[in-house]
Amino acid sequence: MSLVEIKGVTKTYQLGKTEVSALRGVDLTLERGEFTVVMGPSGSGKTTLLNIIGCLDNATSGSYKLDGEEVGTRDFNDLAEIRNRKIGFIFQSFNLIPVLNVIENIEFPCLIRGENKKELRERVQQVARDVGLDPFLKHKPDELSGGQRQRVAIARALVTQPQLVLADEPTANLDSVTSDQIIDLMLHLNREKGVTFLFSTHDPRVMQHARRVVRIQDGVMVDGSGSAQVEVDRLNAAQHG
Amino acid sequence: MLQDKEHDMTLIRLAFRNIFRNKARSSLTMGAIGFGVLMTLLLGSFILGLGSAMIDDTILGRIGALQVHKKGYDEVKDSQPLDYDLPADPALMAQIARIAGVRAVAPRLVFSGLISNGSQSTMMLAMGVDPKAEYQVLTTAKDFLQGKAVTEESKNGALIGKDLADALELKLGGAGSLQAATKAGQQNALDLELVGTTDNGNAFESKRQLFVPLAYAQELLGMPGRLTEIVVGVTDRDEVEAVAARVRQALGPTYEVQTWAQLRPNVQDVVDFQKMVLGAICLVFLVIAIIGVVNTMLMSVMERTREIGTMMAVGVKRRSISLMFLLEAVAMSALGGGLAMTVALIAIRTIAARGGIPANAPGSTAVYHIVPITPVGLIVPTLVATLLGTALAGVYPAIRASRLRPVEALRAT
Ligand SMILES: Nc1ncnc2c1ncn2[C@@H]1O[C@H](COP(=O)(O)OP(=O)(O)O)[C@@H](O)[C@H]1O
Ligand SMILES: [Mg+2]
Repeated sequence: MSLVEIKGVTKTYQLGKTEVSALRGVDLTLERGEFTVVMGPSGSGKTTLLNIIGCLDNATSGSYKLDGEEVGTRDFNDLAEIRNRKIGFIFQSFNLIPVLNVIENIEFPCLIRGENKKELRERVQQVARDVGLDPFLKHKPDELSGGQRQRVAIARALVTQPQLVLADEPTANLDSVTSDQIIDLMLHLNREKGVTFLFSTHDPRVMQHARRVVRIQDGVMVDGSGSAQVEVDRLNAAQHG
Repeated sequence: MLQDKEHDMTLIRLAFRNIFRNKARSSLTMGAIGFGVLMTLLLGSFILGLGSAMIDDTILGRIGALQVHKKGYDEVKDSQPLDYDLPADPALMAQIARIAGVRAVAPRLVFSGLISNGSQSTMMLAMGVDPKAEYQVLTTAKDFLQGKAVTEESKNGALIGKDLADALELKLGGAGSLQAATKAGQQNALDLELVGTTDNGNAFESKRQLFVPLAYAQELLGMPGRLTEIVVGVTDRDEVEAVAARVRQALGPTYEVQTWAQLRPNVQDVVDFQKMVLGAICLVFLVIAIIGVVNTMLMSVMERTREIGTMMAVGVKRRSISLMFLLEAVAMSALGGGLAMTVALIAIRTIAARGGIPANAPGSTAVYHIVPITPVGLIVPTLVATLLGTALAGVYPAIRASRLRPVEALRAT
């Protein structure tokens, strides 16, 4: 059983009287332990797809099974549980809670599901170490650099030990050096801890690191089977001629 | 609260920290709440203090808490009060004095007639009183006295309203006379000596009232051993109805027993009216505070839309989102209101400890001290209204926050 199985998913937004088709029949399967990059230009439907996979939004049609369970018909509270237990989110704009310090941001998803703070401490500190935030545990988000903030977000996504981490253009607001560090960190976590990542980007450079790349354009998958190296070659070819 | 301890603590922590996030705006809101609480308590304590002073003045300075008359007296008191007289019976007085809640009793013979300075005369309303008993019931009656009160030593010594004395140009120690119809209907007159004047702030009483020894009145009216009124003091003002009921029970149907509120309905009306005005003013403060809270919370929800989306993304449920904003509203009112209440109570205690603030009725020289009071009946409703009102004010913004759709909330800037 695959972790994520999406078949024929469409998503239509109603914009006044016009309908915008953000996804027009997407199929995608993710296996546990994979590190998958969704590649596509701005407006191609990456965020829409990740939102549906992340149970933040419902598809207009099609089927979505997460961990073998159909999630399309659940109510808000059920979906909130699923998100809390099974999915970690990393956003382009970090989305930390500004009034909470690093530790508090990381432990937040665990506390709201009722985990004991004392019992958590060990795990939270371990995750903070894993992402290299050790010296900043008491800092508030506005005292951190972009890269550090994204590390907090990664730690927050990992601390619940989710089955899937969704990262929607997590490096778009970072400079290239920091971007590389963040990508390395995620790859490392994937390799060492077996965390499953789905990572969206429109930055071709990022693909050099990826193991599996799927391409989306205008709401349809252009190529779902490509390996990273094939993609890089293709891009290089495209760029140079 | 709704879920387990860590969940609730996390929401409470967030609620409190978010208050201090926009300090200026939160201060303004808490200021509005605090101002309302402060004014409510200050105004309230003085208005209630004033009402209490008025009642005390009525009970302890003028008419007693209860009055006992012969049945039917009340209807004829302005025409033939002397027809409804009672025996000056020490056993009767003792019987009333023994009733639970009664502090003191005093006999009176109330009549009207003319007072003369030898060349001019004018209408007056007189009370023959037993000075010892009278001033045990009316403990503050001597407060606005010049000269002496009615005493046992001076058989014809009269205490006269200040305006009345002035009108007749009677000076302390000066002589005059009283003229009245006896119970049998003949005119009679007796000399008097002015021993004191009084001005308690009541224009009518100052212009018309006069006190003489009971025996003097009995002699003037040809009513030895008789009286028309028994004034009763009680130990606890708030128990006056119960005491009245016991006195009625003890004395039976040949007597009528009236409370101060029945005898002076206008005093009770004024006190009630003051409370109503206070309530209306406080309602305005509450509405202002509520509008402030609604406004602040709605702005918070708008500014924190993406944060709400993030919280929802990591699994916070709608109920918890609304609870967080509700807590924030309540915490603001608890902080603003609590601080204001502390300040108000300290200020009120300080003023009360210094004897209140002086005030006098228009056109009178009698100075009363309004001592602010803070009964539970003022503090508890203020607290409850503030907390409930602001919680209510938080409901709409909280619901708006919880109804946000996560995807759209996350796309907000
Ligand atoms: N809430 C929305 N309402 C209307 N149109 C939307 C909404 N969200 C996304 N879209 C449209 O759907 C398409 C895909 O958007 P999105 O998934 O955000 O793409 P990407 O993340 O690849 O940039 C775009 O044309 C976008 O304008
Ligand atoms: Mg996007």
